[in-house]
Amino acid sequence: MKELKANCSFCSLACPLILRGGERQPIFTAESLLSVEWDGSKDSKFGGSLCARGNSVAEFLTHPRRVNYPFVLGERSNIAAAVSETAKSLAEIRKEFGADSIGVLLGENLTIEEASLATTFARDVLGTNNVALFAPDDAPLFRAYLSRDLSKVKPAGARPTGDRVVSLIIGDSFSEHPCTAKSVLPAKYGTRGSEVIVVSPEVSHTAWFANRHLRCKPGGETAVVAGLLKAAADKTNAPLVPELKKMLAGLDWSEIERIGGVSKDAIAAAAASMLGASKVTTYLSNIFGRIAASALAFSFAEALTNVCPGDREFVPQFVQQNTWGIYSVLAAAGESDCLKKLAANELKALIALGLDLFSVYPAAPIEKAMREKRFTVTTQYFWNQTADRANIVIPAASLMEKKGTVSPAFGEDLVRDEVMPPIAGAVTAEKFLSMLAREMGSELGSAAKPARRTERSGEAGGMAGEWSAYAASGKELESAEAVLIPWSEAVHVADGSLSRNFYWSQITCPDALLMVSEELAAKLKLKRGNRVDVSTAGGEIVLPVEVTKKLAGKVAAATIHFPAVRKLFPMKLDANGEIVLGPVPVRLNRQSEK
Amino acid sequence: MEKRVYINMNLCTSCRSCAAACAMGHQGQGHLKHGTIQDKATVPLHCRHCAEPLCLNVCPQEAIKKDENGTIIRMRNLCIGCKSCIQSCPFGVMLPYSTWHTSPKCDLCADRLGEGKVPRCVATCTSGALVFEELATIEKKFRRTVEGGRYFVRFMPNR
Repeated sequence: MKELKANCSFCSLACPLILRGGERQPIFTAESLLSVEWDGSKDSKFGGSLCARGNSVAEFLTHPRRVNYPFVLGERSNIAAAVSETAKSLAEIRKEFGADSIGVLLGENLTIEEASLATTFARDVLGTNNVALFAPDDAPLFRAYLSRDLSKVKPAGARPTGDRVVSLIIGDSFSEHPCTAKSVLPAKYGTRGSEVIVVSPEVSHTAWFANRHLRCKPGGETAVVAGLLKAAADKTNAPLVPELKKMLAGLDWSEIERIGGVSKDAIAAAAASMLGASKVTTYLSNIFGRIAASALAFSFAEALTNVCPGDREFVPQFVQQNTWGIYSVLAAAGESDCLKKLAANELKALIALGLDLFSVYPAAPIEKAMREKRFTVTTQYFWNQTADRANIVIPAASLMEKKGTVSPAFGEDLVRDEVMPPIAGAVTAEKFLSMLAREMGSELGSAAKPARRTERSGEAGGMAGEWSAYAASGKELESAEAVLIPWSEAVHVADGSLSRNFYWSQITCPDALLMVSEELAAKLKLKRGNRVDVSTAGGEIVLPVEVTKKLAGKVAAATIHFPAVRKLFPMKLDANGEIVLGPVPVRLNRQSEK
Repeated sequence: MEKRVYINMNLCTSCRSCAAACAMGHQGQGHLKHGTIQDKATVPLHCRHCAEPLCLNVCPQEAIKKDENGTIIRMRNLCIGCKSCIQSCPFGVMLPYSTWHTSPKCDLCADRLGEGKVPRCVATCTSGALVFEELATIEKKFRRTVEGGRYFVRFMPNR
């Protein structure tokens, strides 16, 4: 039996793995891969083991439905012909519409070196600046990290004595990153008085373990975290940065209670608990707009953690693995308005590398742009809706099959220098881009040590403006008949583009589901199993209903790992060029049983 | 003393990693299912490896045997997939579906126990809820935690 150490590449925790393969195979390949196991000899970030999707790594690597050949207009081809056809089409479009009519979208499944190479390719070979990271879940957190350095906030007072531990979890970490449970729960049960505080509108997998569940309104997480910071600052006269102090002074408790839906007393009690703890850990997990104004929530949560006088750690959890690495490369390369052009349907050709565009966000403008685009080339693992709409599909090698660097967390790089070779037919984005550049008459240089922007600057700039926009969006939800929020299942990962193909996910969560609160079900006369027309400003689909006690009031939730559900969240871009996501008003109509 | 898989209900997050690991480790045929208790909890249900197993008694092919450790194992080459054992199990922990022609039956990952490792479900548990211990150790631990007042049983409401 041969062993190879690797890291899971499905989410941002990058759990260490051992891949085991047959001894008789001359090369360690996917074909000879027998099993995958958590590498207990190395600490994963949360001391966890493998979750349901991590256990599917072996299945993913050897999946019979993985794309093994390049496809040109749906016909099986070879890599040389696919590259040649791509080069010809791109050259034609550049000649007819100009270089700025071509866009390059990058996704999580690229290494930092590949992201840098894609930027060089766009600039030097195509002659355009249209390169963007397409990760609506994670991008706002990265902007908040780079443009607001609130790690400078000082603790309010001396470290409390004792060993009381408080974990503040914003969102549903246990579903999105199940390994988190292994560090949170032993702390909760380990010492008397330790607490788990959860901020979420639903009784999620995480909230069920909360000692204090600050059950907010849909999208109210940011307001509750702002309230926690305000209460902590008021109680201790904490030395906040001046801009943040001024902003908090301007926040009215009645407004926080109205948007957040949690009383001042409950917020103040939770803040007091955090201030009295000898250790505070804050987790923030944001899947597809669960947390409205997530950049703002990130900054409030970081300041709140740093105000606490005990030992403290702020743990923002990205949904996808290498989005931070790619974001930092693109941030160093400069601003790009590629997403604005994509939304405005100004691009004639699209190169989508390392992502399943339709699974990440199949919003109406993107669907329209894809439909009307003259040429699309994409790298994919499985045949999916993106592949269906692309002119050329290149079989992609995953992060576990290529050498390079990924950044699963801020400031922590993971260099993969010993990997299994790509499965038969799969090519790395680096190889594809090099071949394409050569075909277009250029030579791409080495991508070793790419330039990245990781240093933080600024303090609380822009927070007041973001709060105003956030408060205004809250008013829209107040008047809605029902509000739709994303619901995540632990057996799926992120956009579901990979996990929907896994055996275990297909058994446990094969299709999208609409969950409604008992109050809402009674009001709309819905029962379990009814089929309901779900319509929002983003689109309309039919989903089966599950009535649940986990939701309250006018809240409905839909499993967010399916493109049809993601489409329900309409696409809006803010002044920063970011996609604005959050809970949306929804109309539910029961279908006739006939 | 024989080791068995126990679950700490305080820690289980219903993430189903254990069942996924079981299925992946047994060529797609999982031996572990998640059940609901009194419509309140969703928890993994393991084979008890009973002292007097009914599944062993009813098997017409004598394909189910008790090994020297008390583990109830199903001999794959003898099983004809008649599902008598599934019907007879009083705890309902044998799965009513199978990928292969044989009945799914927990063997405590005999291949791993031979290497000194714990079963796959225990190794992969993301919250530390599953443990592989002797009964005496569990009883001791449980008594201590109850007296200490730190643990109490909570059920996660089912959908």
